[in-house]
Amino acid sequence: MENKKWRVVCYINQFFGQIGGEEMAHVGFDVKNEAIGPALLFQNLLKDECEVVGTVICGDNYFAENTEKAVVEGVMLVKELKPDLFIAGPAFNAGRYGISCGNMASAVGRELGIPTVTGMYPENPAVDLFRKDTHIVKTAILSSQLRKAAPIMVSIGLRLLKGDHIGSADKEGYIKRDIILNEEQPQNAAWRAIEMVLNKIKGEPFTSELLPPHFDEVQPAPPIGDSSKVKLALVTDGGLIPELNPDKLKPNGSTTWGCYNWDELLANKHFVIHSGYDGTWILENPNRLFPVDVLREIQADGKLGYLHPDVYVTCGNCASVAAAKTKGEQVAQTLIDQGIEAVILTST
Amino acid sequence: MNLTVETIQIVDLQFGAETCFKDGILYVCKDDILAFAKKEPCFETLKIDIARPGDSTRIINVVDVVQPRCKVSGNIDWPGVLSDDYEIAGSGVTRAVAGMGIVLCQNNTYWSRKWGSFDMSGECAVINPYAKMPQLVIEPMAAEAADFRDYREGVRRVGYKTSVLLAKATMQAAAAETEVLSNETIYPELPNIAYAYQIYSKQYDTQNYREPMVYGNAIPDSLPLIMQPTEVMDGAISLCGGFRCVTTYEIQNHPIILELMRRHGKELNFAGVIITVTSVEAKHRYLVSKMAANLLKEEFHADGVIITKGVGGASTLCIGAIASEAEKLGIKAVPIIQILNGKSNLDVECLISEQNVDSIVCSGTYYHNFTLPPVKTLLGGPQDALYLSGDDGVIGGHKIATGDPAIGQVRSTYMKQVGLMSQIGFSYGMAVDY
Repeated sequence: MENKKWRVVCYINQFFGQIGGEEMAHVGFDVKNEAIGPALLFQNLLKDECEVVGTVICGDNYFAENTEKAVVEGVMLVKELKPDLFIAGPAFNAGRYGISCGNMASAVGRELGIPTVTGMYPENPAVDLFRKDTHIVKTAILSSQLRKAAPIMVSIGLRLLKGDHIGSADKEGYIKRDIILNEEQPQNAAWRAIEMVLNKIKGEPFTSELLPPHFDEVQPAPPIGDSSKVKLALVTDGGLIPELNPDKLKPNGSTTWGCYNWDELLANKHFVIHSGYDGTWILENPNRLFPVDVLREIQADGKLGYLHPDVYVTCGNCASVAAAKTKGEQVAQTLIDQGIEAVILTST
Repeated sequence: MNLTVETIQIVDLQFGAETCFKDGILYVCKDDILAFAKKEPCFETLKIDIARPGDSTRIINVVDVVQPRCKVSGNIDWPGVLSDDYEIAGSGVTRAVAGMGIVLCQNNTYWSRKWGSFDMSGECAVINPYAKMPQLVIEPMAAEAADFRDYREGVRRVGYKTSVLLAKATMQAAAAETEVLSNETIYPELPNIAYAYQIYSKQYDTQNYREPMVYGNAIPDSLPLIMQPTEVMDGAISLCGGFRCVTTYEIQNHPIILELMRRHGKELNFAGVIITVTSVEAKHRYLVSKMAANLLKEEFHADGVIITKGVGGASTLCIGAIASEAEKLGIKAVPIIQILNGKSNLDVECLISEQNVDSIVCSGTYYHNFTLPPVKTLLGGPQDALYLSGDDGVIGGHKIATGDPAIGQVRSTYMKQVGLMSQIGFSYGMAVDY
């Protein structure tokens, strides 16, 4: 009895679908119940275990000009073919093709719940948009290098199907998906550090396991000038929140924030959820986290225009840079929308 | 300073009518350990078990792992901790028992970040040195009203007394291996390497308790200290604040000090050790980093330095500052740090931002997650205990989640598995982008 083969659907653009070049980029979706173009190579590489049951083709401009609609249309066509695995592209360094491959891989994975894989040149603008949603195998700039990328795409796709281990981004040749994991090394960290320092002293090559990031330069805002007219708000990463934690802050790696009326916060049950420091002293006197007492005195003296009655709270420890940036933008926008002109940020 | 460590290898650990060592088997009499507990007024109960490699056993509420060791040259064991008499540790002869550990568990529920756990079999056990040898698991439990300072120090005393007791029980047998650790002879032609060891951060000290880590003394805002390498691993530094990715076992077998000693006179000259603490204020950090770098240059004439950290993010900033200041003085610096989250990439998550620190060892991300299967035996807490880790546990006495039944399937992370991640370089993991 013949073993059942997994069903594979490929996605390619009009050029690889042999419909035509730029002059045919406007054409809409077409489905072939066979392997076309690069899909033939995938079929050949997968032949023992899979069958390419269809190739979905779409013009670059058709997809790019109405992406949302195209994704819905494309996913519908893929779904009808009942695939177990979806392979898009590879798109190499083609911008529009990258966008369609990324969109399709991402949407098919999300909506059909099946493994997806695609391929792109690392500087393809679509890489950053979709690298977390699918496995994007690194390719060269030009499509003449298809034969190098295809076996890697197939190998990853096949292992995703079987639930087998996929190694690190560097080892496997895909673009990092923002998942950091640990791998056991032949030598412990102490030994590695001693080797590294000796190599550095001798001027011999070594590979640092991490490097300091280059952070964005944040230009300080101009001084507020006359504080007696200014509208001020307080923001902290110190995690002082109501007992019921309505905004679901996490003790570390928190991606959410909350804003709470200061007097209500203190009048009701509250605690420090931040797991990076002991909140004993804040709970004893919350003004240590938010200097509301002093600011109210200053305001009473007419030296501060307005103090926002709400305080803005998150936990900053163990947050990824991306998550912290998102939270910061959200809080800043909320404050700007309320006409707040200045903030005091207290860290812990 | 010279220290001779003589090691005896045991083949098994068993309970017996008396504590003794026979035919490679170390027998432990529970009464001997219970006798230690009697002197600790805050203990309500004390349970003792043996966990073996391959057992379907989970040990929770772990605060420390200790190797049996004792002084055999008339010196004091754990000066300042087990004795009010002081002497400088790190000379004479120490006997070490290889092939087992003593696991200390506790029931102080103020902060779940301060304890860890580990399984004796399964996915994590494969990469956990503590799961590869029998463990004597001691659970001294306190009444809820007990003073947590007395309790913590009581747990440490019982653990260390047991360590000394078991090592002394092997004294009849000749040691299998003897190693002399010394950096007394100076080799000026070899690269001069120092170690800067940040032992502590007061950020996790709760309710104004300062962990008494140096000969039983707290040094919360200390400026850099010079200490002898053998002193560090032979009783000067001891833990008392819960688990934070370093154990007494790791300090007793300090992998950086041991490796530098072993290479001393061959590839390098081991110049010495500086002890620092995490600064919680920038002003202190500026001073500590400049003082540490200055000591490295002027006292040790160091060409290179390995730097390790005590806890989390603030600790990393501090050792980054030391590394940067050292590099400014021409000293090549290699800090060992960790990644504090799992959903990002290594290009942006290095907490050291000084661009002149470009030689870093990364011993993993805290948040490599595991789902661990149910186990048959649970040690370290009652059978109906919940598995509370840093993410879903108790923060400052406030229970924020219920956790999973600890005997069932549980979620855990790399940093909460005692033995997987070591601040002082004992562990083998490295963070990698996926």
